[in-house]
Amino acid sequence: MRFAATHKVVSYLMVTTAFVMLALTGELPLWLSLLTLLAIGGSFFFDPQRYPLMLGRAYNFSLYAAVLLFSTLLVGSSASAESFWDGGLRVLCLLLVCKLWQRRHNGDYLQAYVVSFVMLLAATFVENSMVYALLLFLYLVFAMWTLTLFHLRREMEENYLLKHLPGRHGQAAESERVEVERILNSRRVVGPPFLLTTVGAGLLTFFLAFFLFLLLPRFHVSIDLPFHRRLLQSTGFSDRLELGSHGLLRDNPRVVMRVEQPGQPPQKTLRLRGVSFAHYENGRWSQRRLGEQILNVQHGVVIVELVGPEMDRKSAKRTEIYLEPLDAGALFTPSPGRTLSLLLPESFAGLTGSHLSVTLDGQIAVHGRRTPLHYAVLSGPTSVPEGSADELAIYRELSPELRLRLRTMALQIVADAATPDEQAERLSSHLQKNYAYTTRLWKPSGGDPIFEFLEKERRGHCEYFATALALLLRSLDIPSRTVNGYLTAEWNRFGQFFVVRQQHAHSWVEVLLPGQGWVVFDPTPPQSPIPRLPFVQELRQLLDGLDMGFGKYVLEYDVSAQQRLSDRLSSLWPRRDPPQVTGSPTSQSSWRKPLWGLVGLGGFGVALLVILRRLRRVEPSSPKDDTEGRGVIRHALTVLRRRGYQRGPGETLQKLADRIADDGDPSAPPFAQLVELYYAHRFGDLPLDRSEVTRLIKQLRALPRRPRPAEPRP
Amino acid sequence: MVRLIQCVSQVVHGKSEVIRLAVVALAARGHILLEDIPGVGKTTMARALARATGGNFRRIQFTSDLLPSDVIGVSVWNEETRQFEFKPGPLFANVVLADEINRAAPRTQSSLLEAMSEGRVSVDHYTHSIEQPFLVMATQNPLEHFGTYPLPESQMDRFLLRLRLGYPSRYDERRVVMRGSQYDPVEDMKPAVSPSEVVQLQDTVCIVRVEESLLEYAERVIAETRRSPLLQLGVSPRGFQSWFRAAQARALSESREYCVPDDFRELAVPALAHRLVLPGGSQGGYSDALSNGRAEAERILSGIVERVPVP
Repeated sequence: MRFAATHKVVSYLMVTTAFVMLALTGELPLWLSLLTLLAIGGSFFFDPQRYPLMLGRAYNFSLYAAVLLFSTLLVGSSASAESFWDGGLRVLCLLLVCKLWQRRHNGDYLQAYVVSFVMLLAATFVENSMVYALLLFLYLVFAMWTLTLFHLRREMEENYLLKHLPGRHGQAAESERVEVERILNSRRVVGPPFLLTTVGAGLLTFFLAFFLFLLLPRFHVSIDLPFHRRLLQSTGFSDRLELGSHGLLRDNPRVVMRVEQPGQPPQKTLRLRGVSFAHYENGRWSQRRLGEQILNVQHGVVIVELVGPEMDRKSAKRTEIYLEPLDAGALFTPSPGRTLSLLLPESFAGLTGSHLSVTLDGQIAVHGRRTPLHYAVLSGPTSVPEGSADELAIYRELSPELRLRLRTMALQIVADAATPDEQAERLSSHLQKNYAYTTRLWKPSGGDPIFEFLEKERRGHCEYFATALALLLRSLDIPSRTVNGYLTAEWNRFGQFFVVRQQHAHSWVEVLLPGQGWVVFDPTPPQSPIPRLPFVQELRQLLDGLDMGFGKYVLEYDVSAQQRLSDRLSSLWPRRDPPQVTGSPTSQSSWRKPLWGLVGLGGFGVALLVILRRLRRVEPSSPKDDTEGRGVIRHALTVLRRRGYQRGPGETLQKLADRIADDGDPSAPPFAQLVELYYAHRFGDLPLDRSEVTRLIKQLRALPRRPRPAEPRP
Repeated sequence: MVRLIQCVSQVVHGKSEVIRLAVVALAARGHILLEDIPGVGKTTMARALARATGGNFRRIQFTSDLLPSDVIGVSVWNEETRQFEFKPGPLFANVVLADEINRAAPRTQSSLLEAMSEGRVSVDHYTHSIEQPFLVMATQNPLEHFGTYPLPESQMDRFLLRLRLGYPSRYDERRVVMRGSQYDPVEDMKPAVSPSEVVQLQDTVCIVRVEESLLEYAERVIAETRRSPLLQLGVSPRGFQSWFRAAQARALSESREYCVPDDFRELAVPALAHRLVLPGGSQGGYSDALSNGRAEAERILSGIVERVPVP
């Protein structure tokens, strides 16, 4: 490909990659992303060189003025940090498009690169998925190509614009133009070898960086920005819930969280409770807050104790949850089961009060969180709460009017069932059989929507079912509460974890049964899963698994992860001597790890050097291998440089020797002899007299360093 | 070869570099174009060289009415044998000094052509070869250009080297002046070598070793002259060949059996500059403003040589 065309293509690749990275974060509105992408694509086929008007100063000036005005309007009018961020992103897109439509020379390209880099930075602030990492790698490779070609082009267009000829007889130096056009259109400047070598260099750099990354983990450095990434929209996980006000989530496949339960056989489904509601009034559920919770920091983990220390935590099940940023603060815990404690990252140590709230029934919510969160939940078996009758009274609470109307209905359904669990079972199956599930919302016509659901519409979504069951139970004086959370059956076999998506949002009922504690009842009729192509499903699972691995092993890589890794590595090594014999086992293992690290690093470095040397040797420099003679001369020239003699590009060694001799420098005789020997060896194919060469070099080196200004060559 | 140089240097004072190059040209079977003002010792040098090689010397003073036959010879009718008999002209000598060559008409100038390149002269269907060694030293005055005929390009290309004597140093000039004009030192010179030895020397030149990287270097310089936008015409293959041969001869003149970068570097200007053609038709060697064009060509060439990295 022609040089100029190659440069253009790689520049576009780099710029577009940066833009795609930004667009994929979801920070840009879709119309803007598409428009910008179209504009970038269009500019590729547009050549501003053909339009003299666009090269003029007036056009340039007015364009800049317009962009500046527009940017000021966009950014200046923003009141909050968030709209400032949005405005800034828009200005970036505008600048990029302007620059690409105005590619006149290398300077414009450079400015486009700068804009693309700022885009990359912006994307880095808000995104850290695996797709981002892949794109970043692509960007690195493209940037390497682009910058190399860009510098070549700049050298051609600016620095080598003039070929310099030495002035003669005191005249000023004269210069002439180099044919830039011809070089730019040359096909010989860059070819596949260059591109491949650069990719190789990029890979090498990437792996070196990865190696360093393994050696030097991060210490929880995070930047708190005044703006935040666009949070996942969720409904039903705030303090209150209004029946019928909720949007459609069933088709939204965005991943909300991923859940791992190490050391436990996989279940068919997983229920994660988010928020439970205790108080119902006129179609509206609300929570009651308990108050602040004391945080306990141990080994870099914040432990939130929900149940007193007397509980046995050894038999507790551990669930690891990787939660994406959600607009609601609820933290999810597996259900059924009793949450004993939550282990949060250390960054939560500073959060108290308004940030962290705990509800009466042990639900924790973190407010103002903007980053993905990884936490662990320890849960034990369900047990009967020790709460007093007063505390439990709120789960029986019902307005007299509701109680009156619902009680007759409930009594009809339960008929002869006597125990609370039988009654709950009957009510639940009645709702499942006689009511229909729909996501098409009907508009409540005033009054309590639960009556409309039960008596008039007889169809609705899970919240109606759950509310109906809870209220019916309450009317029979059985304590119950509705719970909003997720119900997933999506098991990712690649990553061995449960995937929770927006569409898995669900609502159910927990009933306090005597002697059993809180028991889950799900009155919603089972829904048929949305059909998907198996191949798409597999692919999605694979990608998801990779993304999870990226988050787990790359984003969360820290000192403890490094410790685990090194433990695993050192366990691969056979231990020869039992630690008791050598005395202090702790001191031995403490120096052993860094030692192995050093040995590994050293080995890697040596291997790299060997490869580089091999590569260099393979490179065809001259038909005759004359490294020795050249080495001698290079050495001598270095010594001479210290004495202030620099060889010109077109100056022969003999000439240099003559020049030094003309100066009467003491280095002249040995150097002249050396040159003679070198010439005879190099060009006359005579053997090099090593002892003589060594003697002469020694003689040269023995001379003191004498810095002097380099003389202008004649 | 060293003997030759020493021998000539005894007579021509202070011009060792030019003498060496002249000997180099002789060894490389080339011809020399001396370009200088009158009275700096061009003739003396030519004579000395002829003397030192043990060959004979002829001088042809070129004028505007000089005819080709005056140079190469004529066939005359021999009454006794009743045949045309070739009377060789002054060209038939070992060293020929073609003085002020640009004064002669182009016709006469080109009569030298075949002799110079082939070492043969064709007259009336017969080809007469010239005895080796054969060296033409042409001189021309760069300042005077009224009534002169510029040397054609092809003719320029046939000279191996273009040299300039220049003024002698103060010391050397005083020695020449004090010696007086009565005494001619050339007459007293003893030949340093025999003509057959010179021929042998010429044969040896061809086997001087030239390393691959040197050849590459020379190729790059040549390519640069062809590519340079400042030049209309670069160096021809013949020019390259001459340069190559001259470099080999120079190596021999320093008693080396192999070429070094300096051989090429030093000979680049004398061997190549006069072959370049500047844009606007003015030759590197000859133009309306003769010295101007010449200086320009030399400057461009040394610029190129400065730039191309030597091995």
